[in-house]
Amino acid sequence: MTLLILWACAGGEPQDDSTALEAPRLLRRISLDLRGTLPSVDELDAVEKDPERVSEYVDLWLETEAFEENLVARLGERWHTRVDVFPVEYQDYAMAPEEEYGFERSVGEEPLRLVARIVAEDRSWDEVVTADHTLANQTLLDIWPLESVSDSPSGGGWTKARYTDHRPAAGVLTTNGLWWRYDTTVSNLNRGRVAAVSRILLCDDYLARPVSFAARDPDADPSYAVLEDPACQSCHASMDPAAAALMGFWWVVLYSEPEFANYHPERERLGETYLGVTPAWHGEPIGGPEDLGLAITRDPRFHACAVSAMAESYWRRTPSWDDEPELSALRDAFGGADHRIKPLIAALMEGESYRQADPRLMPPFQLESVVRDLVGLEWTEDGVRMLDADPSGVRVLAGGVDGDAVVTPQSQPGLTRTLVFKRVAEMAAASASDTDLESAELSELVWWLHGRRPTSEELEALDALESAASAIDPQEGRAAVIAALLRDPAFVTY
Amino acid sequence: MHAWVLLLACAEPTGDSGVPTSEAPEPPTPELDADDVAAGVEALLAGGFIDPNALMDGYLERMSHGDEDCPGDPEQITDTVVYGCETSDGWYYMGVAEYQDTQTPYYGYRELGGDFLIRDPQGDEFEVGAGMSISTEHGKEEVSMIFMGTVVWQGREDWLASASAILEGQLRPYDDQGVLELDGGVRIGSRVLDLEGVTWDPAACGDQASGVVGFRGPDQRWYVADLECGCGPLDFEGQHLGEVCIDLSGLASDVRGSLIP
Repeated sequence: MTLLILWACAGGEPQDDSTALEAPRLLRRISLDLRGTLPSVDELDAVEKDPERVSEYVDLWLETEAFEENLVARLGERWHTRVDVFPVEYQDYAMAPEEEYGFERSVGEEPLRLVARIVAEDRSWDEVVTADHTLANQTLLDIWPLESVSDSPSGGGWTKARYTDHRPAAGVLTTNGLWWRYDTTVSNLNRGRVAAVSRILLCDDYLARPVSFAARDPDADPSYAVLEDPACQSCHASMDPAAAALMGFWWVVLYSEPEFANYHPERERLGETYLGVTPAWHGEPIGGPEDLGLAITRDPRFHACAVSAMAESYWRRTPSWDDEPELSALRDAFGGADHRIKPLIAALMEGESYRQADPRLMPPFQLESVVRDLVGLEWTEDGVRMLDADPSGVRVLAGGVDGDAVVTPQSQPGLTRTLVFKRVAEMAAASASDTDLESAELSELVWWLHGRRPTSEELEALDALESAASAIDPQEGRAAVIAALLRDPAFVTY
Repeated sequence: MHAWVLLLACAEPTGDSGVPTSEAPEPPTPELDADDVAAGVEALLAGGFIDPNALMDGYLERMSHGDEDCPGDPEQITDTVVYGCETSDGWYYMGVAEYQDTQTPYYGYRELGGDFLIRDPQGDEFEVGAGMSISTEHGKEEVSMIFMGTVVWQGREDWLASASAILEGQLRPYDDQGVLELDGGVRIGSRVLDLEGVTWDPAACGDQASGVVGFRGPDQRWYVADLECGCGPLDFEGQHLGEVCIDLSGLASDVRGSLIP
């Protein structure tokens, strides 16, 4: 409730959501979105003097390593692969309990790292489903049939790698990480995976389709109904032939490491036997995953979906029909840039929707990276990054996505999120000694942390707080101010 | 509602019609010819063929080294040791496995299913994620087999070293002159075979096979032969590559040898 009230009062006056952000606050949003950190005081000063320089920083920050790292977590909100349990667990590899978190993130981030690297290297979005390699860290190189194809690891120890189990190469479509998250069963036969790919890459959610089973014979064998019943065919006519292209990933023993870790080329041709159809993409005959990837790149929904997915991620809301003119322009820009994401993001950040003043709440991955950058805070328990995991962590409580039970980031404030903000603010303040936060002037501190100039009333209030806290404990005066500023809506929104 | 539909109908095309385009890639060039395919299949079969009985025998042999606590049963691995146990002799058992062998004058049923790993004191691992069974009906003189899953057995040099398959088979009647039929996909080592309705009918073709045989090339694409008594046309992605003869008599002999009661 406190946050709700504060939210309404942020900045001293109610904000008009339809107005554009002032340049410093916009720069702060861009910095958080691209780097996961706040802009420096100098950077804020620069755009305060010359707002046109904002675009310059966009171009600069798109080239940072932090952009790629930040993108991994951002992609996780949509791809849902950063889950906290997989069908094969760390014990299957004789790992210690303290290695569990690292194991799970390694597996779940494989497809995200590949996508983020493709974006960071300014390659075509098509490579997401056509790349001849994946990305792996040492954990994955140790446990899966992978070999590094790069001389030196980069980007947090993730290196280009190829599978050695004779699987085709089709970008994320041939990564274990994606298919461990989107598991299948003997009877599901990859259908759920096609639905996941359709949702993620084509913005076409099979589960959202209206399907009437009213006329269906309740005694009919489901195996035949999916081939013959018109209601079933509304999805299965396109889903099952695509599922047939993934038969090499069809696992017949649940939780079996050798089944899950390896590709099974001998199953590639079994689609007709078990699904009753041959591989095809919306009527176009295809072979295996490689052809599936190529077919997806030729599907106009693929590029359109990349645009709307990026818009949703950076706008922090679902695009609506009213956004169509802006999305159309973005699609044109994306096509004109040979389907590279960086120019798309730059165009997005020039747009009206991105620059609107309506506040967005920091997702937990941003909160984590900001306090790490400010005071070096790493909130971990037993090796688990608390803002990045559940259930031992607080990722969902902080408004994040666990990829399983919670699949959409919270856009509104709430009680648990407020408590997390409070706790993180307190921990960060306690870690702020010997940092620039401790030595900064109060006005500069607000400028840095909130991206706006404080009013004289605010400065007086902060000064009073610092004095009062110092009177109790001389060491705690500045910490109290920092904690107050870090849990302020002006900090946790952007 | 109607106005909305009309608006949609009048909207400028944006390039996002939602309808897949029809451009198709160029057909690939084959890397193998008929002789290569025949030689590849021969190499695949050099270490024997999928044999559920052999795997189950191997399982029982490995299990015979366990004790009363680890894994606690000579034929089953229960979930009490799902994350592993080690005997005083250094044998390690992990996972879950269920074995059954019932033989009567009327029928026989032998089955093993599970997801388990057994490591011997020398460190060689026998890891299986599979289900398999041999069913015999003595009244009909029929025997059928199923193998679905993966096996990796370090230290072996035959097919058990590394194989994965979804394979079904029948032999009726279950004697040297019975008709053997196999369906499914098999990987042994790095070589891969697909069998679609492949039959060995001694009365029709002696020891040669008829049916569709697919061989996966190093280009990761399929070369498919439609055999009639051992020989037939070879196709690659819709291209005809001539005639091929593939000798699968050894495969049939191995399977018969295992299945005949």
